[in-house]
Amino acid sequence: MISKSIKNFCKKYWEIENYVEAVNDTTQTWHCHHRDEIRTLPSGMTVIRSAQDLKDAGRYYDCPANELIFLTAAEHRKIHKPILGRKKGSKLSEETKKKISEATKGKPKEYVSDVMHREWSDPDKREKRLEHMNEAADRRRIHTDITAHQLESPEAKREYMREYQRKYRQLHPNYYKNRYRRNKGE
Amino acid sequence: MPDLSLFWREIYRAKSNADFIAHSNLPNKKEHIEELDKHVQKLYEQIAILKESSD
Repeated sequence: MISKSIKNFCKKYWEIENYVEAVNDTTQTWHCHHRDEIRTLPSGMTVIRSAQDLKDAGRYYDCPANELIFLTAAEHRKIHKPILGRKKGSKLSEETKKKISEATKGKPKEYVSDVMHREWSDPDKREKRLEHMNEAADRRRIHTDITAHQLESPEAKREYMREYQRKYRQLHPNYYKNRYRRNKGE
Repeated sequence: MPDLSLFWREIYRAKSNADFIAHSNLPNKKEHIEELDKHVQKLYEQIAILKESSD
């Protein structure tokens, strides 16, 4: 079986490779893989693009059928495994833990990305970073304010989210509007 | 009593940012932490002044 959202990725989805196998297989859901995400050049170099890169290039939705392929979940995972790295929730062995702790001894706890490290020296960019950090701090603070409500029932959870959004909207009136625009790609 | 929520918000922001910077490998982190500390102190002073004036 395949997901209904396939229509967003390709209008002529029946032309995608492995379509017949995917539709006839009732035991598992087949994933639609963008070939452009991982491409090996004739020189042997592997080019990796994220989903966001493809979206920016306008090649994520409404693709031609030859740019997509149906894969089983296991096959899809195998392709993306080198990018995704360790699976969430999987436990590290004692040896690995020791190795990591020895390698990180005497180093600061949080390593910021190279980009952030570079931008930190530029006052304008640093201010923008600090604005984002302030927003994150606000989100944390609101959460600590409200987590007194126990999130037992789904209704309580929904109420909590409503309350959270209301409080956050007070602090940043344009946040949800901007996020909506950003998601729409305007 | 005046509304001090904005001051508390600023203090929380500055403190959490300082905490993040302190645990990072960012360049000139001491200076930035000192700046933020000064900012927090100023805010506390302003709160004290406002409280006194309201009393």
